[in-house]
Amino acid sequence: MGTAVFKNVGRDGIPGFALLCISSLTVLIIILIIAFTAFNGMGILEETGLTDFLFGTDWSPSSGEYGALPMITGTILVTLGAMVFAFPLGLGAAVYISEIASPGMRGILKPLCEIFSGIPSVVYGFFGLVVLVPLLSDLLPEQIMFGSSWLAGSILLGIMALPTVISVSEDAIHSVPGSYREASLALGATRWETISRIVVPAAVSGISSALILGIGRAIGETMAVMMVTGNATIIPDPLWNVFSLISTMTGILALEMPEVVVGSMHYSALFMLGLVLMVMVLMVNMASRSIVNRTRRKFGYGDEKDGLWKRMTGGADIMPANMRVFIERNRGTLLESGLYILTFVGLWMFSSLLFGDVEGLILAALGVALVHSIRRLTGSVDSTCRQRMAETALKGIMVLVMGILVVILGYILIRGLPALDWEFLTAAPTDGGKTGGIMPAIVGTLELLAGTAAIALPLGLLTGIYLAEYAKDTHVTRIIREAIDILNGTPSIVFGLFGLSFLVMFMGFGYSMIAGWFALAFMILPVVIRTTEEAIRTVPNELREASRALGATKWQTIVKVVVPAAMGGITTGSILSLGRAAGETAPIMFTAVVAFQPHLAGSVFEPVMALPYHLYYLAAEVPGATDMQFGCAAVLLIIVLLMFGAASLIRNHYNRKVKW
Amino acid sequence: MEMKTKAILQVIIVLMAGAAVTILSSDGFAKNIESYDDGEPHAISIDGVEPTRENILNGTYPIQRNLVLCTMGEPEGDAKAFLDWILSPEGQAIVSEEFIPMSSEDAPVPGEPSDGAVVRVGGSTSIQQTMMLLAEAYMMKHPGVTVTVQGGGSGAGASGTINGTLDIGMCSRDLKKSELEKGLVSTYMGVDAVVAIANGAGVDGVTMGQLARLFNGDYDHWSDIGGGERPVAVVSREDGSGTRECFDNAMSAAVDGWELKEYCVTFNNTGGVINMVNSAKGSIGYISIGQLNNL
Repeated sequence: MGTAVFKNVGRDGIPGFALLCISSLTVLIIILIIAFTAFNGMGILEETGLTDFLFGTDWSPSSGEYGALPMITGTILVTLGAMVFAFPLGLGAAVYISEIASPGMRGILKPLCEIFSGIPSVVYGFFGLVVLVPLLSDLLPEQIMFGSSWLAGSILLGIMALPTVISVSEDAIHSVPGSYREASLALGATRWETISRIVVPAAVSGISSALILGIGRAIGETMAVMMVTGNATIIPDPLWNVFSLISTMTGILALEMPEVVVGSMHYSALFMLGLVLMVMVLMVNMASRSIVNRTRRKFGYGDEKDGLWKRMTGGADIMPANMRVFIERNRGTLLESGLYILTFVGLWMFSSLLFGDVEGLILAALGVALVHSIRRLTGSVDSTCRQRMAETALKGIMVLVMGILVVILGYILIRGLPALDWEFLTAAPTDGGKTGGIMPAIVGTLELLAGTAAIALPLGLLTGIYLAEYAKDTHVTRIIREAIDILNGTPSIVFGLFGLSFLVMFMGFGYSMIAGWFALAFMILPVVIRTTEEAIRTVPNELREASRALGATKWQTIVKVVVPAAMGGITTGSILSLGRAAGETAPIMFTAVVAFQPHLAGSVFEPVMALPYHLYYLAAEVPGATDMQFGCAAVLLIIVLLMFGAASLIRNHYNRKVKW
Repeated sequence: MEMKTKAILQVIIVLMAGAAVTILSSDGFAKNIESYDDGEPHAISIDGVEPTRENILNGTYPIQRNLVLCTMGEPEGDAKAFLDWILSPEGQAIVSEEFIPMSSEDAPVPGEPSDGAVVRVGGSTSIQQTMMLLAEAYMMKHPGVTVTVQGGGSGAGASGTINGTLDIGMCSRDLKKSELEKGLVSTYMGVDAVVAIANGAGVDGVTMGQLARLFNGDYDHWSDIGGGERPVAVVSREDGSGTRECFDNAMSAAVDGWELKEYCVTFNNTGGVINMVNSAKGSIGYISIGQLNNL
């Protein structure tokens, strides 16, 4: 009996330790990423110093000026603009899906949103380049000479962030307990009153977390922004000039990295820029996490820790008492005047860009009058009528959002599908991409995916198993989780920089398929780990207990019982993350892809072509290859959407079939 | 009157007033620019010199640069065979697709490379594309030979050749004195010229000084130099590009303290510049001469 127990322990101990070692790889990866980015970026700090780098306004590396402020400002402004566009639309659509749409409609709209979130960045960029940019320069030829502008970048990023904002805030709104709604309705409130006064305020932290997630996604975005902002390293003048050219950190990285001399000061400055980008995204993600934690505490989960603010101020009320009373008493008036002032200033800022200063003032005043009279109008009707107006408005938002996404998808597919024929799919490009086909790019993308899957899936699966089944709440586990969080938030272009400095140069892989595999694998690893862990956690404990009671070891239980039971979630997560990898350009553009390689790669140490990069190349570098561009975009879209669609189907299948 | 009707009326009145102001004030900004016809995208002559093959080879076209392949010491063995082949009519035909080839009268007859030879070439990204085509054609001709091509920039090409990681370095500029002192020997493979292109400008030629002032922002409307009414929209290559370096050097030589205007669209490839100039009226950019036929 004693030996049997000993055997069991022995068999369990080894997988546990091995899994811990594998899980620690994530920590190693994140350390390597930070170390190599920082190490390569240090040179510039010795040259200029941190302050001059962060706050210098002149970026012209060839004459030795390395001021990153224009790009940092640009990143913030473009992101803010995107959120001004995406947040109201996203929130409205989320409220509609969760509260107003019929269950059947919800079943269609939600998966549709998920599928839209899979459209690759480079496809958005391509759409922006061929539709949005010419449209803007036609509409406002005097203000937007080129069409490329902050406005174009923000609109495009906003559209890209929409699916994320909708999904996350819909989850938050949907998880508000039904009893809240019932209580409000029972008190005689209309559905709209319930939504606006009860449900949305109750879900406010989830919604702000959606906003921050959207910001995080927008800051790290590379290809789409780079293709439509013009990449001029200037600070807009005036600061709110949305028609100005602008540049973002990601855009400049993608633009200047390919030609920079390795080891030069310019090279070092670009790496430092990458590090600054990473820190910014990290800060945004930390803010998001602290909001989520605060909510969990509010609803009674998690430990009762004081927030940073309370810890800093010691919970003391820093506002003078009479001021607080004043605010409490005049809350309505204050809010109202705030609304009017905001409307006035906002309208004046933008109308003075378009028209003269005087006309701007008049228009702003009229805008305030309009807001006022609309408020009077809504105030003068009864609550049923208001309810109908609100529902119509929300429905309008939903139609608009779906309309935008369907138009993008439809435009590319309708123009791209006719270009597809057998030759296009099976021939190599000729004449610099203007004629011929895209076969090497399709094969290259599939090869990249296969290698990425071979690296990321086993690693992710084993780490996920470790975290769900073995990990106790120790320091080591916490460090691993932290590493996964950081890895998850790292912008895709940073994986490109890391791939270039570590895989291509340090490891000596050169521009090669294998370097691309690792860069992509590291990028999707955190998603695979998380979805695996979540899937395994949903497997009920009874199954484990039954298996152990029958004499199986822990490892046997995991392999034979738990993992098969969680297979649905694991597969879905894996396909989703591979779909993301298929559409990514930034991590492979400095590591694995070349613009032109008519033969298939002979070994893993040779570079390949890939669909997203080929689309970028055709759209940005080859004048007059319209058919090829749309064909390539359509093929890429079809591949990615098929993967996302498959994941959605598998999830639905398991959700319906498997009931614990 | 009922409160509701009043409110609706109020909304309508405010909306109409807003529309009126918008229409009145927009009268000034739509100066009907589109009706002004000032030609298609075209190359601009500089100081009266057209960017043609003859003018570039005889050195009268002002913005040009030599394309250099460097080796450590005099080229020998397989590297020499490849270099000689590049200078042969066959190789120069490929070079001429993007650049101006050397005159091929005194070209040496290329020797046979040894079987299984590997030639590593790297450096300037401006030459990289042409070099890839050259390598492909050469490998087709001599199936036993492998030529690898990588980028990195002119500086990386020179330093890589010096420390032995490359057999042949590509530089889209003449070798520096310091590099020559370390033992590099240059072989000229062709000449590249940078050509200014404009769309809807209303001018066909400029002086060097005017060109520089268009690009540093001193002239912000084409009417400043006798062209149309449009504002000058500057399109440039990114910092670090060889084409940009060549162009910047020529501009700095023309105007003291010249600096590129900050408000310009930037691309990291010639195709982007061509696309933008083609689509934006009033724009001006610069490209490698080999790409002129794509305009």
